[in-house]
Amino acid sequence: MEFSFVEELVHRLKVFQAMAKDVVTINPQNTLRDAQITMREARVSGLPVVKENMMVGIVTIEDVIQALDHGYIEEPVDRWMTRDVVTVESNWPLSRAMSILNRTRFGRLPVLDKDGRLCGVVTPGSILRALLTELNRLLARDEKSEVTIETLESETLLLRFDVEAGDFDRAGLASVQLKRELAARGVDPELQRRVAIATHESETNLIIHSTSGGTIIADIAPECIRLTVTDNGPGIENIEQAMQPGYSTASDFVRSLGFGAGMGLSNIKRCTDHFELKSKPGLGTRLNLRFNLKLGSAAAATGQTDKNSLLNGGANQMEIEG
Amino acid sequence: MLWADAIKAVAAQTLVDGSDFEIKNFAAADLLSDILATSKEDFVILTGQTAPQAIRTAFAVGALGIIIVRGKQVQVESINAARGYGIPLAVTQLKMFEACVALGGLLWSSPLSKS
Repeated sequence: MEFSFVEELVHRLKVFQAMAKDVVTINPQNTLRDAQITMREARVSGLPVVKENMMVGIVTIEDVIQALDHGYIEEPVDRWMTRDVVTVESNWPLSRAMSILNRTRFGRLPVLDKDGRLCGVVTPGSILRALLTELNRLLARDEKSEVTIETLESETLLLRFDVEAGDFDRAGLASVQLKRELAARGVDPELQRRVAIATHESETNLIIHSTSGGTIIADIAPECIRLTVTDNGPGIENIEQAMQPGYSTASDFVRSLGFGAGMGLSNIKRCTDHFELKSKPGLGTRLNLRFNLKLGSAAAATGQTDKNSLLNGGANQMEIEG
Repeated sequence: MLWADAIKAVAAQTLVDGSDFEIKNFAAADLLSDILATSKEDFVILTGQTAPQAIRTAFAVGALGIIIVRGKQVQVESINAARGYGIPLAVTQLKMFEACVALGGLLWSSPLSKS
């Protein structure tokens, strides 16, 4: 299956990244005249009708024109609004909203969050703006900044990899570079492989699932290798479920590239000597992984929990000593 | 089984050459995730994935070689990546199942390679 660059982009972007967030709404008790004035002032062609925080319908410029034509412009919105509104969800791929816009020829689609509340409106204009912004961002991306190598002390090496969301073209590059570094330092091949697999899976997770990419920091010390993988969202709702082999939320597009089989987290755990996963929906996810360089060495006893975690109280958490 | 024997068994065309080596096992999958989850050793990958990511996956799991099935056109970037990582790469016209049958017959008939 071949996908064009823009097709990839609209599969990767989520509806919430392309919607207008400041939605002008109207109360069902207001008149169509009020709707007409509000639309003119806000320069929009449709208004979601909201009652007690829930969307109950939509009224558009066409409704106002009909009302003017037939003389019921002073009647309440409630009586003439469309009640059966086609909506989209904020975490759907943008492509899905675009195909609905195309099929229905509607000028706008109200966006609902996971609790069913109105959180935005997606229109052809807002989609175009989001695509242009994303293209600009990709063009401005500094190709050279992806790896930073820092030697702190003679025996410790820190490598930092910045991974872009949706950047499937570079999937596995951090893994390759880290494995080469370990090989150059004479690390046991079996351990090289475990670290490389965990890094590869972590990179892929950031590419597929993160909202705005993430970072992998590899800390190579004489007694152990630590990997810290962080991102700023969307976070994992149910860690136990996410850890189950085969459980996946990846799209068909992602699967067509050979990824997203739902083996990532369990495979990472299999490869590590210490596995810790913290996540908070809406905030982000942090993986702390440790690989012991010498089996049964004192290093295994130093598995202290990371105190400077960005994710505090109430976070989902799973910690496993391998 | 030697790499050269494997290539011959599936009538594969070599894209990246290397010195010959002993194969003890094969991992056959189109999903890179499945390849990443294998714990096999001294193995060669059979896959329909031709993008450079597949070559990087092979490097991560320490595969000794890669045979692309179904006669797929392999991207130049992938050939370059395989050369860069020192992973021999070949392409066969056989379908995945046919390639597995051909190589499995050979692998398990060889007294050296019981696994």
